Amino acid sequence: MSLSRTPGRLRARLGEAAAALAFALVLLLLWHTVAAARLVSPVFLPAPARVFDELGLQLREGSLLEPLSATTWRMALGWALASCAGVCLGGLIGASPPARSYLSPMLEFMRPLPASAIIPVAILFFGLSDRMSIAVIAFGSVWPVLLATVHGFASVEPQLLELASSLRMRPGAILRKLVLPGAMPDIIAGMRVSLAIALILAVVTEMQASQVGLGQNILLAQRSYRSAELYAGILVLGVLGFALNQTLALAEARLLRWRR
Amino acid sequence: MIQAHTGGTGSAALTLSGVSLAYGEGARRRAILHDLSFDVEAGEFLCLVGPSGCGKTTLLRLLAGLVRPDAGSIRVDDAPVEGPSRDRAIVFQDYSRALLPWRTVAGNVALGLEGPGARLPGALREQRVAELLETMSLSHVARHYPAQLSGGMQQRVQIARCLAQSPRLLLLDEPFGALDALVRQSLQDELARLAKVEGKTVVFITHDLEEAIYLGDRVIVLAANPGRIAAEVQVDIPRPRHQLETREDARFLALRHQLFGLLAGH
Repeated sequence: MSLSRTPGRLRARLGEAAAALAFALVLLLLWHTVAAARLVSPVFLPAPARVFDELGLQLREGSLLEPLSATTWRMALGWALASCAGVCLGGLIGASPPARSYLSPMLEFMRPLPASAIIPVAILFFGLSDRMSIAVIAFGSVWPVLLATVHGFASVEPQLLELASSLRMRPGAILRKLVLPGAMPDIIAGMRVSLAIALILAVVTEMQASQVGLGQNILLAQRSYRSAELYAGILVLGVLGFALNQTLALAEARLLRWRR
Repeated sequence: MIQAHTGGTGSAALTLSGVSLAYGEGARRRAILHDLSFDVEAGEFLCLVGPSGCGKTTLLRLLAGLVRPDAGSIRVDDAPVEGPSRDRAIVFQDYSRALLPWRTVAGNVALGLEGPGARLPGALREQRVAELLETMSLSHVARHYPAQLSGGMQQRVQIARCLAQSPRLLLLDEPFGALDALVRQSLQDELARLAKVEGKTVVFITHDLEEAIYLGDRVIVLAANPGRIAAEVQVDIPRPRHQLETREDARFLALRHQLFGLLAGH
């Protein structure tokens, strides 16, 4: 039982955080050494200091803001669509055994389909637009949350359903009070996987369709050999992904605190 | 009022006549329960004891209305059982799968007050939940989640939720089977006291003969394959009963001897 954070646990967590930070610093140092020794040409691998300078400049000028918000917005919208569609469709499929057996093979066929393969189809339908990006992101990231929801809805504790019927609960109440909370751990796990895919696809579609965003920044920097900009872009994407995942992990810990 | 002998008031709260049930199809069809007939009086504490495979749990599910019999009829207060009802609460054996893990103890108890036919308006619910938590000695863990509680405490929560339903009939399926001896004894005494204080009619299923005699106003012994009544005895030991004295009482021992062979023989 961990109702209160004990000092011992806090110390252990601080220790872990310190170790993780130390590891990152070692990597940074390694990078610095390789770059300083010119083992790799600075055109391909600039020193970390130059990358941080570039990042600082972009932050001061505010030039980072537009691509960052464009990428985040497209990703968030696509992911939100995928999550809504995934939970609704997954719930419908999961709650009905016949639907499950009819549709599962098709889902298993669609799931491993590389979402980048449908970019040309999306361009055909939507042109080189934001709608194309969002459609591709939503399509590509819907599968983890959809399949997780199907599983969550299908694995409701049968005894709880008997309890519900002995309490004469109506279908809406059963959904709200039993099925949805019971499926929540699966749904959230699926949404976390989907979020990672959404970020990947946001970057890929920007590169494909030349839309303003971090992905396009990286591509343009590479084409004009501005390596510090290139690595700064990658770093920002890394931080963005990390921050999003941490936020979701926090939301998960809060929503699922009953799991200890 | 508590009657010393039968514990009941003389009118049948529950009547089974000729109830049979079989599972499976064709050649693999197997009778689970065969031609069961008995009454339970209002306010009576009836214990059903039997070896595994005698259809105890199936019988309880029939009484709850979760399954329908193939033949015969089940009537509660002279009305046929057509399905589950809030008037019949069921305490499942496996408490860990019978509580909502995402609700606190208080939330789980409140579940019994929710839904169609729930008689209390919102404002009074909280008060009723608090009373029930008090009754089941759960007040200090009201805000805990089930996973934070011991098995005995979880079973208390389940009983409190069933009481919240204000059922007339309380159905319990080996509720204390998974608990350690001391916890089991204290819950037995609390249940026996509560059932009498609240005037509930109780059908209690167990595979433990001593538990059946200790708790019951009457004990029905079931035989297996298919489940049928092997014996029926009245337990004329006055209440309140005591874990030590009652179990040493000559009447208790006599019943134990009388019924032991029936269970061991299967």
